Amino acid sequence: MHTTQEPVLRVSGLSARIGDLTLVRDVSFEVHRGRTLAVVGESGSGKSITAAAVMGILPPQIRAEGAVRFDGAELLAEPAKRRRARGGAEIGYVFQEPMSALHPLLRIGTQMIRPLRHHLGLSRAQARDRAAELLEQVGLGRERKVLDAHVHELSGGMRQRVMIAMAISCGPRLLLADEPTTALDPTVQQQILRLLARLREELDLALVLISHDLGLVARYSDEVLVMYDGRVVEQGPTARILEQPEQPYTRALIDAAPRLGRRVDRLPTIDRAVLEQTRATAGGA
Amino acid sequence: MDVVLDLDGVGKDFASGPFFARRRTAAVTEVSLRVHAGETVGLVGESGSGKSTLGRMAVGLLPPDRGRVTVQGQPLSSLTRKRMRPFRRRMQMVFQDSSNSLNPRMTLEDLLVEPFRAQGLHTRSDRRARAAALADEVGLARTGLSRLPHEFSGGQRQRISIARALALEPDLLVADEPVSALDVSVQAQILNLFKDIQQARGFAMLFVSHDMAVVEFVSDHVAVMRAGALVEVGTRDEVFDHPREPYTRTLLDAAPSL
Repeated sequence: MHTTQEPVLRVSGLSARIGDLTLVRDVSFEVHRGRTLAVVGESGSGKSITAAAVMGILPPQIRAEGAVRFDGAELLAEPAKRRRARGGAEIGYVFQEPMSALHPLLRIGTQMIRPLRHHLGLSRAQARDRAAELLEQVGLGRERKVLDAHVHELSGGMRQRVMIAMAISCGPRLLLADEPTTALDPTVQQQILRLLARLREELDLALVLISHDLGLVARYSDEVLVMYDGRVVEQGPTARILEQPEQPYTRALIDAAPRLGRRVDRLPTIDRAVLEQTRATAGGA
Repeated sequence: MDVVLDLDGVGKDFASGPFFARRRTAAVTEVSLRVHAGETVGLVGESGSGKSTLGRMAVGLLPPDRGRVTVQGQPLSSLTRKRMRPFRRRMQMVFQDSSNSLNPRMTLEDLLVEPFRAQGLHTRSDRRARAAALADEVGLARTGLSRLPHEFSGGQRQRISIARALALEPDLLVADEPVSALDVSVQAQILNLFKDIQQARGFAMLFVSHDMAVVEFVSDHVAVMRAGALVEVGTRDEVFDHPREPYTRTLLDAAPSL
């Protein structure tokens, strides 16, 4: 946040509409190299639509407005073809469900080699070597076993590691991870988040972690953006947001989650009045 | 306190591997566990630990290959199919994804009346009155009684499943990851609901979850499961304050916290 260099990604006044319905309203944030931004919200908060707008993978009926500046270029103004070329190469994307993002019939190696040849122009042999290196980098060992495997033969954690290996394969400067650990066991979740944090350091990436779980991403992010009903409720340094949230909604969201060591009889739920007030005031709209 | 659920050396095997080299793998090796009336036992473990298999055996949805399941003094294996049917009302289950277990063409009222109809209990008007009372108990507005499942949110659908499970006043409730698919704010409401209803009704509850913080919130006793066996059992405070097993500590360390 205190760096003088240009952010890798600068989103300003981003809105997404479907017909007259506004799904995301006036979202602004920046992400710098080597930093992690957590975008947190419950279902319907607009966090995934925001990510999809940045990636340029919104469904055609949803219109994005505002500005998405990536490495000095205005993405929303770019033709679809150019954006697709960026997606996967310059901007890496990790989905929640690797099972549906990976092809069920193709071997992992085949799927990893394609973008390497397409984006980086590597030969088949070079691409295969590079794929093996990438798997090693994400902790899947320098074994041909994973390269020759099909998705269904891998565990949930291994699949997500493969997804991450593919997301970083073409040297992106920005990595978006949308609920990357939601379907995984807690111990595996921790491993995957640590892996993402390590790769962010090693590759000097700007990382955006999208999650419904504030407690989960808190440890791994520098800054937090809290969303509700398509708007930004609050944003700032993670420690500040957790310790002294300014907005009642943020406070309520933090308190509603069961927390280890806090033995209460009842969990505080989010007051309807807080939701209404948040809807009325968030995002300055 | 009365023992409601008594699992005695219970185990279950599943066949795996290619057809000609079929192997039998134990999903649950041998588990003994008791749940008393008015008590919640949290069963925690990671995927593949066998916790869901154990939960299904506890309510008689899956027959064990070894050991004995006893509910309210009645060994389930000795029940004939005919005697099992009326006995089922005493043990109920709530699943993670309730949307799949609700008939999409039935209104809320039909869904809440169905358990009584299946058991042939009460008169028609009595059933409807009871359905309305159930809706009240789980916090669903009576104005929604004529709505279909898809008109409800995920949290409301989980309330419907809970109401259906409670309709026949079971002695034992097994809840398998009942809040895992819910948003944090909805999860808080449903967890509070489980606590309130259990305190009001005093049934025995086996609460299956992978989430340590959720288990700490709902449980009186905790059983930690790994690779088909219980590695640690104790009161909530014992297990969370002084875990004896390194594996329990691993789970505690991995749990997200603020």
